[in-house]
Amino acid sequence: MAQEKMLSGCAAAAQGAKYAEVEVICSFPIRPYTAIMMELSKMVANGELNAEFLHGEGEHAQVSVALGASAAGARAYTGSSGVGVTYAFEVYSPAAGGRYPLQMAIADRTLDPPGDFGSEHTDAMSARDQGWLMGWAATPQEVFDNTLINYRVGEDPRVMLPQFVCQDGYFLSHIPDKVILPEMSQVREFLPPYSAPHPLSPTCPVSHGPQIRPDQGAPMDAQRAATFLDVPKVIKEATSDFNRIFGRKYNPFLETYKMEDAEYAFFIQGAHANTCKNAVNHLRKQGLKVGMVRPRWIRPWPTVEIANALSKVKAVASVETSTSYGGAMRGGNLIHELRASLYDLPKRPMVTSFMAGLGGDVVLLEDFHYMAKILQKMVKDRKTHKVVYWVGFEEEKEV
Amino acid sequence: MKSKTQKTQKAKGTVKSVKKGTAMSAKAKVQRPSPKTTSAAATRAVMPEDLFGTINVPEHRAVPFGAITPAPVRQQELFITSNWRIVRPVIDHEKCTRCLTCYIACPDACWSFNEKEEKMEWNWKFCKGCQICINECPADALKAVPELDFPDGVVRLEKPF
Repeated sequence: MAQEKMLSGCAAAAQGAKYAEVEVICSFPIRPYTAIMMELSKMVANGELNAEFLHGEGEHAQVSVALGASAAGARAYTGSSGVGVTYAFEVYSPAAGGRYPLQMAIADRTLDPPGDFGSEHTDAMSARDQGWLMGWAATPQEVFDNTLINYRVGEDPRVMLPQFVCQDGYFLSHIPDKVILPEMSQVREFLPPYSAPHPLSPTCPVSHGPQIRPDQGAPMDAQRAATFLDVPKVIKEATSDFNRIFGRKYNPFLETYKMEDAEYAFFIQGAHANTCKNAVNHLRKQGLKVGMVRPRWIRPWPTVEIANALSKVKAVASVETSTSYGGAMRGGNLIHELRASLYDLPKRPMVTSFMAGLGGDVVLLEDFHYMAKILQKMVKDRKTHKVVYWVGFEEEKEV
Repeated sequence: MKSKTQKTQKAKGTVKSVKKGTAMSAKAKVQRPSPKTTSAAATRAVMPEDLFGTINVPEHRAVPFGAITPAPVRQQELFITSNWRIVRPVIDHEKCTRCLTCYIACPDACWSFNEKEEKMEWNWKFCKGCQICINECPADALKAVPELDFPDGVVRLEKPF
């Protein structure tokens, strides 16, 4: 029987790995993701999960171990947070280029200095272009589900790519919520055992990671890019299978909330979306037609879906939970790709961004009210006064 | 004109009443997401799904999946790695004493002994021209010759190999 439990995001990720029957796990402590490994090590010690549990001597080693395990044909699992994510950076591109579908859980955390441990998406976002699949969950249930969906998509023979399964540190990783744990038979129906096409094996030797020539680099990049063109199709299939088997109602790429008649929209990723939905309800009570769009995937970026979802709104607030210092909009990362996605629409909405949820800051209800006011002013004045607002650090006259 | 279509959509009220192709570019008409796609947002699609086209890598330039190759092989023909060589070692078989010092010294195993002809053989496919063999040769039988001096020299090729 499927059972319902109160689980934090970390515990849900560990359960996801357990249900996915991972074979090799590599850990190294850093908060907040560490709770995932605490849970998994208990499961392995109790005999609940039959997996090799290794300690890396650092995050670089962690991902290297997972890469090696994946090359040998095992379903590999690892994870990290904050500076741990950036310490492992060198291994990300080889893991994607070598086509090893390992999974890395990231409970995000502010990068150093000066050693802030609060949630911020910059750590994982900085690795978004390394050829991995990537997406944020908004609830512990979604963390559990994404763990399974990502393995299914990543291990698909048409894809064969590693996956970052991200969740907000603390807001999601340490706050328990109801999680439905399914039947093992359901999981087995959804996620077949991993079968590596060319595993490292003494009986059938192969060379992994050889040197290639400079003139082979470009076609290899093109082949990797071509793979990403196929990924959305696989995500759609996997999500529809998941919804059927587990009785869920995920849209493959976006969570849209009250967008049917929305004139204004918040574009936001991760667990802050829960506050945002509340804000949408509050604002709607005040008569403002507002909605929310939350991307479930960042890589591949759901360009067409985002454009279609936002094609009818007057103005969009991109709520940035990561930093891009000196970037085109001098604020966060999302607005760049959001604006680019909307560029070809016959009637583009106005777009501005709000720097919020940084360094562990909570994005408050009143912050969303502030954003809505700015959006209304933009539409009224028919002018994008500014492309970035640092919430809490703006002059009063702006509102 | 676009705002007109929007108005008519609003007046009719329901999503179903949106006519095929209204408020869509000509391109969008060709590739419309099937009505099965779930969200309400998808039903008012205005962006074509084939935004990205296709990427075609011709077979002769394709790299094996993940650059994974069969092993063990005596020589990895798929990845010839000598295309940045500037000089190559040229052997004087008269001076050569067959002491195999070059065979031992080469970091890329580019020297081998041909037992039939009883002389050393050089592998152009993997020699990077590092000149260690030239330095180590006790008989002074090797010398560095610029690639430019050879009609098949690496630097002369428009596309190396």
